[in-house]
Amino acid sequence: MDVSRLRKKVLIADDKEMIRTLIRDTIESDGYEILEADNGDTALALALDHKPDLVILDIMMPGKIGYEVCIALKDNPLTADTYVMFITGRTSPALFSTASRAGGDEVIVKPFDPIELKEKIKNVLFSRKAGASSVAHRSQRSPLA
Amino acid sequence: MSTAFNRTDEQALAEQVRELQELNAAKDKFLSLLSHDLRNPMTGIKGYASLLRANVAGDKPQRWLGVMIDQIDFMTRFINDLLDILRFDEHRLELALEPVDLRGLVAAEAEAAKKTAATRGVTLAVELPAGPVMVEAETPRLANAVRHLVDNAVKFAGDGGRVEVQLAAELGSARLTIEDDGPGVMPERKPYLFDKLQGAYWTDRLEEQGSGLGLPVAYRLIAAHRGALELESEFGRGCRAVMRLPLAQGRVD
Repeated sequence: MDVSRLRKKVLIADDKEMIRTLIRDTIESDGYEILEADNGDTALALALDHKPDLVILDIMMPGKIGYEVCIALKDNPLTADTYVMFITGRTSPALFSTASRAGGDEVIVKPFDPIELKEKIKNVLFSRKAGASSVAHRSQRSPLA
Repeated sequence: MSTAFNRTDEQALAEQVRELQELNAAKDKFLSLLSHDLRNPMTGIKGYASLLRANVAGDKPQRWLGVMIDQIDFMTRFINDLLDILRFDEHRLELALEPVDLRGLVAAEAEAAKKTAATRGVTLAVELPAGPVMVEAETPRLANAVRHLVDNAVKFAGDGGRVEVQLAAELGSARLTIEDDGPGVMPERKPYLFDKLQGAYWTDRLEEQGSGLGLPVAYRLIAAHRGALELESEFGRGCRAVMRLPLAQGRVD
């Protein structure tokens, strides 16, 4: 049996290396397979290639911006189920509605608490197939309306 | 002859006004960009301080890291306040309104201020009405305005002082009064209380920790909720902040 197939895959896409490293340092002890991209085009290519369970997606990046990457992932049947967590330092009134229209599942605003992010990611990755309990976890997400 | 001279004068003046307005807009734009760009380094500092705190034993390191995280959170609130002020002044502040019972919001902010009040020996009394006081509000932003008003009152009441928070509904509006028995407002400061830059200058002179943005941001957040903030004070006789907001049901008829 190929054990690596059971490992959850997380793609971290942010043009700031420090932010990618911080997220990697935060979650790597949980045993995920972690991929990194420093621009939107690489993020989309890696996501289509590796089909991660979760994509943590910066919005303002070189190449395709986060919204475009998210739309492309959600439009593709192979990656439509991928959970997309936007991460951004630029808040605006339109942020949550635009993120939602792009198909995003959640928005994290910088500066975030890494310990909370770690727990959130654990919930996302291990509750989605857990049937009834996933509803409870879903209600904990940031409102995307 | 003199008419032509005056026109040139007026033109020069108009030109100067336009230049100053452009300069002012450029300054606000710069502040806004700067504030956004601070978020990444702040994410790094807060992030690694939090990871360290979760991985390091010992009371002292825990306390030191706690101070670092608290200060970063202070900077984050400062930046959010500054951005809200700039948004409001550029007519770009949009709120996600929902019906809110002000009693819960005021009680929560008063409760949060009790710790600081206790360490300063300030008595904090809260009086809420029996029935709901419903307004249309974006809770985090209105709560932020109320927090600044309560924190200010506690700060200026001083050791052994008293702060009274009173909420009432009257004639289609909600009225929140926050009164302290501190030194009050210096007369020369009154015209500038809600000015975003003057606030900062004066805070410097008062030797108090604070951003100086508290009143300017509270004033704008309350105005964005179609309300009004007034400050009544006689120097040496305390200060009373009065916030008025339209009641939610008042809008129906």
